[in-house]
Amino acid sequence: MNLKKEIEDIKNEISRELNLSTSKKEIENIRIKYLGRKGIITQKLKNIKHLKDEEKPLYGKELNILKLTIEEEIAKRGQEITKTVKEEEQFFDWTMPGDRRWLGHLHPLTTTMDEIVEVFLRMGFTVELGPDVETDFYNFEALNFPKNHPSRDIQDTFYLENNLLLRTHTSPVQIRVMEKIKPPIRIISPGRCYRVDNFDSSHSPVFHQVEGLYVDENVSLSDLIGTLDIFAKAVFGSSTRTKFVPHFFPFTEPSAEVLVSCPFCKEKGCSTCKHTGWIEILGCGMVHPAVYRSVGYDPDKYSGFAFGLGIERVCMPKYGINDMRLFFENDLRFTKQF
Amino acid sequence: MKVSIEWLKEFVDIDISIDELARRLTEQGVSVEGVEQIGEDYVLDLEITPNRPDLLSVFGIAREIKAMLGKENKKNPFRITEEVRTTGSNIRVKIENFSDCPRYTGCSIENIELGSSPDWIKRRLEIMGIRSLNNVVDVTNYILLEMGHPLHAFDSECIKGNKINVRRAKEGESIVTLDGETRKLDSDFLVIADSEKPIALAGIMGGEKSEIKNETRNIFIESAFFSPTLIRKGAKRLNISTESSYRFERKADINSLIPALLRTNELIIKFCSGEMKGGITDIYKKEEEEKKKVFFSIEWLNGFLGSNLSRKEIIEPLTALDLNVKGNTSLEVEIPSFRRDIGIKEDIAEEVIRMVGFDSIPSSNKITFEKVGSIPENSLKINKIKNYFVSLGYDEVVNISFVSNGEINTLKIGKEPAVIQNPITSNLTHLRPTLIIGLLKTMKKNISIGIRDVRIFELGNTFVYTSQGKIDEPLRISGAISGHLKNHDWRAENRRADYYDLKGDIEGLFDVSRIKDVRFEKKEGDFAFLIEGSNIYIENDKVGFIGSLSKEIRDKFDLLEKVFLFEIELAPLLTRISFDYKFKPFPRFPAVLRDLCLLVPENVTHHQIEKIIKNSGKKLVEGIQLFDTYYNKKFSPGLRSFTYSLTFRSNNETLNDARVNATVEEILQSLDNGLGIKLRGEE
Ligand SMILES: [Zn+2]
Repeated sequence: MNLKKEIEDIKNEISRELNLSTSKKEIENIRIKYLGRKGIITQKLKNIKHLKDEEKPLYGKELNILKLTIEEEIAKRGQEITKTVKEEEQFFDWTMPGDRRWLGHLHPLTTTMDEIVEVFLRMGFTVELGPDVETDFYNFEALNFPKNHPSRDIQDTFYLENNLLLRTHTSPVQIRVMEKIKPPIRIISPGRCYRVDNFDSSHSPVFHQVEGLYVDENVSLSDLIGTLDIFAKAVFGSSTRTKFVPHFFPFTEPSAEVLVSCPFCKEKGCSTCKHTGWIEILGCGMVHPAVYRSVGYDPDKYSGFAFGLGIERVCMPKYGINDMRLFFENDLRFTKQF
Repeated sequence: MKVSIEWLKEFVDIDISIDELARRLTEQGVSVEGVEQIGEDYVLDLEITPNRPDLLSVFGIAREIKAMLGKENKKNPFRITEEVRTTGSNIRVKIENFSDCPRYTGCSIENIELGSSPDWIKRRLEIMGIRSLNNVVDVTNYILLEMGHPLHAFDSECIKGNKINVRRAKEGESIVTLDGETRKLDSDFLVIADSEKPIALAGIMGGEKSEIKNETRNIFIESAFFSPTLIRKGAKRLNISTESSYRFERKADINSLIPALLRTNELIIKFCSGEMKGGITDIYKKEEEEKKKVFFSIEWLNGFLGSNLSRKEIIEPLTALDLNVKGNTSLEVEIPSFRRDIGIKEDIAEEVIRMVGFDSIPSSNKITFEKVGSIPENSLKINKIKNYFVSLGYDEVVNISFVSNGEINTLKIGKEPAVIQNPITSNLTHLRPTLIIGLLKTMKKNISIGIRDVRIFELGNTFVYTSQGKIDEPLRISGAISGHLKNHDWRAENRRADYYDLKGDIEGLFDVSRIKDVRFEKKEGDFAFLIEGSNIYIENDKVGFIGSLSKEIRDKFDLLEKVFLFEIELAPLLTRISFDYKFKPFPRFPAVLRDLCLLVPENVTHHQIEKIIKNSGKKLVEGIQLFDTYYNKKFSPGLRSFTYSLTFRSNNETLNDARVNATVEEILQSLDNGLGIKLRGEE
């Protein structure tokens, strides 16, 4: 019989038996079976003397290695077993807690962002991304901000060297896309934005937005209302109502703020909605003709709408989070709730 | 802006409840932030958007309410009934540059009796946040609130040479303003000067010297138009905002100067006695411009709004807002000068929608669900990576993008970081060149609240300068583990996380990404903050690092336990991740297992052994598993034992013992020759 094959078989068999063993007693039995005075290996070693002289050294060496390996394996398995259960305490209580792994959690901003993106994907919007570091042209100029508009101030916008700035909204992505392609355009741009604000319960110098843009022939305000209405219902529940209130943004005309009925109190008023029954979540409007001109579109041919919503602003009422700082403090007691 | 209901009622009848008024104003775009009851009166707190300076007055709000309720104005302070004598006053006015100040009007009033104002004026001022000073100043403030145009009263005795020069300040000039502050001026500031020196900061604040005092008898009233840009700049440099500068910044109505001046005269003569001296000064370089007009068709408007409004429904609200509309299906709207925000047909659409309400526009479902949008492939890959870490029990954290120079220096992490010119605080001055700083702060924070066992990751942009001086925004993923691997429960073996735990998670990331050629090579010393670290390579691209945080840095972040962390740049990973893969049929021939118990010199790495086994294994080695390491005093010094389990398999045949044995022999031979590795028991 082939020596190596024989040893291999013995080794495999021992491994199998050790794996099945659950008590010290069983392990001891295995040890006796192989290494005891009348054990299999012991017997084989004794039998060497009956072999031919030229076979003796090889056989001896291989068997001794096998014996060493088995001793190590048995010792190891023994340790494993003592660690898991003490034999005399072996009992079964099906109500004892299961052995839990730690669960990981996505940050609520990630899940909220994904959820919002998902709704717009289903409405035919394509995701476009842009850089955080921007120029005045993309962040302000092309979006019809007048030269002396307060948003450009260092009190509002973070500036870097060489007149670069940190985008104050994700609208620059709209300009970058419109420069590249002609309508129809239906995009959303999620991302991180920056404004000079100190941290407090409703402000953060860093926040997240999803902006949308739809430009085509004959896009109307009515389409904007329909789109955002469906969005609100998808995110806050099918009974959600929306309210549009006129507002002002340089890059849209007409402009509006959109309020959704409070998902907690159903418009009755509660602390989340500051007792108004409504929560402000986004700004929107019909794209200003000056924006079309800055990207070389014909304002008489195309019309369209744009909207921008703060992820934090959507996330806060959704989960009843009352302080914006919680998003960026990374207290794991917060993160692990989502 | 605060506005008194009682005062509003002077201009328009309000026959709805305060709550309803507040609600309807808000829905019309004049946002009511609060309502307060003061005595018998109510005060609305309004948020006026920057495009509507015409609403920064009681009359402006009254006009909006009038339009909303479909009423008439009870009176209009802008309506001039008498002829205006612009024959000039005793003070001679010169404008140095008409682009700084296109129009300046004023008049002199003599022999006034200074005193305090009637109580009702005091009360109205107070409600709207202005302190009563004396009857003259109170009147100018009263008119500012009523009509929205800022005025200023000078003590005529303090206008040297009876001359007013509207000019830029000279380098080195200064002025003590009404608040007692000395303001150093330069040519960025527009001033009102007499023949000698500045006596007021134009449009921002008067000078202390020329202010109305107890002994003042003769005064000069100024009603002017100053360049919004210039006022903005000046107010900003001095870091002040006054009722006056606030309105000038948002652009005054050039046609309201004379009406405001006349109304001021009227009230001053009424409450302070006095009489007008000479005529009215009006320096105006009038640019001949036609009345602003906007043209649009009813068809366009209904198309743009998606509405079905009749001509009447469109014209009525516009007329109510004092916009004059002509035409039948093609309309022409004449824009009065107080509506500085209207210039194009979209602006008219906004006025219509404000008045008829968004509720009258049907909600279209034209664009919903007609096609499915797409998401960049990289975003999908990123989601996959995030979910991978979450599935391993990591919590995602989100840190802001700002760090301090000190933190960057502490880690000595290569590359020049981008500097923020106007940081909010001195510890948030730089854009993060790495996510590690945020993770360490997160760990510190959580340890401080008693969470010691931490597994976290962050995925986000970092910022570095490229060699061309541009700012690059490499996307990175970074993670850290510290403390125990599991909860301390009744049977868990409560082991602490170590390097190999983290490394296994990284290897898994490459596995799920189907990226094969990954190496971990001992770090080259460029991360001072790592010990027991290594660089991570995909093929020949260095993509990141992994290691244990040095004690020195741990101390700086108050981290008591060992911390293991990694950072990987995502671009090289994302380009290699492919969603295009095919099912592989199961192997047709059985595998053969062989264990090799090797004695390995200390300086030899697992990676070297693995490489030799692969190379000398003649493509028959399918798997190499290091399943045991062992050290025994009986070994010669400098040796340890590695036990490998090798899987052999051929795609073409069932391997026989002879073939496997021969391959094993060859592997052993190569290991011996190349690395001095012997089989245990043969040493
Ligand atoms: Zn509520």
